[in-house]
Amino acid sequence: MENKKQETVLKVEDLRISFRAYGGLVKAVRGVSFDVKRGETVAIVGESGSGKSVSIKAIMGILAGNAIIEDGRIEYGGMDLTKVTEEDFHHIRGNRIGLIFQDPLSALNPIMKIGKQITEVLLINDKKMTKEAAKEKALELMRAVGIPQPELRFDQYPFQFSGGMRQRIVIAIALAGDPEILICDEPTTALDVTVQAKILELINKIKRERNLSVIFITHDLGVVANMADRVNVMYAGKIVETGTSEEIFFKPAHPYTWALLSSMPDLQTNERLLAIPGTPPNMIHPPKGDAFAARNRYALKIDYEQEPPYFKLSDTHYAATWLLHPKAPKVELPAVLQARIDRMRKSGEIDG
Amino acid sequence: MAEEKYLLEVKNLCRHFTSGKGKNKLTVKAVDDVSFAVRPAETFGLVGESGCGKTTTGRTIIRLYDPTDGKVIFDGREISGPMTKELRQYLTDNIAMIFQDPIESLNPRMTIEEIVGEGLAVRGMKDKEEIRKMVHEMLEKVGLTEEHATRYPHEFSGGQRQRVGIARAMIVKPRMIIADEPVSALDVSIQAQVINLLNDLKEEMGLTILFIAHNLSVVKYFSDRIGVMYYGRLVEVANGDDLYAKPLHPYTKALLSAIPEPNPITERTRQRVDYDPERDHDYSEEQPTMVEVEPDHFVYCSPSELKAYRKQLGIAD
Repeated sequence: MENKKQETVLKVEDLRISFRAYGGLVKAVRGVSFDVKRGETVAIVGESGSGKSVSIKAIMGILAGNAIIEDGRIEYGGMDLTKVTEEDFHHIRGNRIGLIFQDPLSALNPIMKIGKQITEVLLINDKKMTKEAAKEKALELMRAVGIPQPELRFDQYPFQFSGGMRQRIVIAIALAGDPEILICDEPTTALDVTVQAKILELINKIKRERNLSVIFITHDLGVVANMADRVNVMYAGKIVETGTSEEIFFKPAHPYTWALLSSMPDLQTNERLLAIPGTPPNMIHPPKGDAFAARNRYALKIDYEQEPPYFKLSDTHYAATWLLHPKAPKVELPAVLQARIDRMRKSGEIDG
Repeated sequence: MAEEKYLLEVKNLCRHFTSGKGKNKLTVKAVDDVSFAVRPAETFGLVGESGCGKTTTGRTIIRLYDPTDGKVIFDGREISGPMTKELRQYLTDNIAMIFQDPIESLNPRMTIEEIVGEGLAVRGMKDKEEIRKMVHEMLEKVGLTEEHATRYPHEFSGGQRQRVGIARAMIVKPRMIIADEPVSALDVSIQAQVINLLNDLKEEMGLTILFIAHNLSVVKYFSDRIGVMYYGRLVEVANGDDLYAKPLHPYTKALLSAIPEPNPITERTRQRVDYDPERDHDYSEEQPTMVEVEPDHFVYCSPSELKAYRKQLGIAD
């Protein structure tokens, strides 16, 4: 954050992905653009089906067989990842971009010893490495991710580990290739709060030590506040608002972001929750205009006719809503949300 | 205290699971000596991490499991004794359950009308028209429409399915609902809809709810009083505001300090506390018990810890 001129390591431009399905083409991602700078954490927030996981699967080159990349570029290290062959992807995946999955149990091979699962990555990536050196490196990684008694744990199977410890192993495997980008797809959703807090601390620590860029996918805004430098809010296959953490939490501009922020109770909430009515649209036939319009209590007539462009709020803060158009009627933040933001600012002042 | 009227009283409830035989025999004390009481029209929240026994407690109360030891008393009647046809009837008439997974808990081969109306049919209601009318009314109440009655569960979204689950529980007009993680399988925007719905129903029908969840913010928002569970034991019981303002048990403190709040300013400076029972308690000389530290605030602690807690709250012994 201090250094504004950081180098951009990954750039996604106007990505469009559809899936062939029985009913027709499911338009999962409809023009997503974002970039990731070195050493920063970028969060992508959204509900299930908003296209956040599909976007990062495209970055990793692990889209399902019925997916079609219709348009767009993913620029990384002078390449366009949408056009890289599977053969070349082997050198990028794991080696330069690491991925941590949501469910640590299904990400691990149940009948292979933990140690072997880590050394496997090392041996494949470096053909000259000896088994002894690989073991040494694996133990070092296990220590780095906070696994007690690594020598003993090296010869154990995944079922002998708790959920949090398994996730640490998955992180160790992701780090084994020494990547420069770490993608975390809901890494703590399956874990308990106290374990979640420890894993988040670990990811932050590793990020600082190795100057990693992290792409963090989640639906939990509390986790976002903890981790992210910048936040992208996704809805129905599009990024509806993007900004720094402070901008998204304290100056949200898109009605969907408002709704997300005010729909979950925090520890001080007593008033009625502002639920978002209805359900997300069917992406086989995405609605004309703004996809959120039907659930948006502030929807204007134009929202049903024309997709809103991005309106600039600051150098880092953009939102796609017609409410920001100079001719749009002035809309106040929902009172509940305003009260919560005031309270958050205040608590920040006292603590900080 | 003893004079006060409780709807549900749980006294020293234990539920142990055993596996293996002989020297391989293993006993898991999923619920161990848990006592609490719920007042009429109150919402009692049970929180804890996975495996702490909160779900087992709920299931033992409604007799999906038989208790190993202890008593459960509902409205003055013991419901933890031997199961008879009459007791089963009494239980299902008075207590209903809402489950976590809205997909697994609905029979995919039954229409919504059959699912919601089944409880009435089981209770001997024969008039199909009457059942249909009541189902339609109930669906309306939970925010669905009559047209939904003839559809099957797969045609619904997660939030709508959970509404069906709520309608099924409510149609028999129970006096108490056990809601086991009713919103944790739902998307954020849908969670708020279901929480609001439960809140409305609670007020409208004067329901007593035992709310089981792991998300502390949701439990705090929804419950009047909260019990914190750790490894099969209840370690602290207090009303919501007290529990968050002045947690006493070190586990409660650890749990509270681990909740990420949607506030970037406080999140960056948040200090997390760890809980380690070996380090935080010295029970070598004194045995801990559940004690009322201040009115309506119970903590599982030893006499010397109690002294320290009282001092912390500024209460004289």
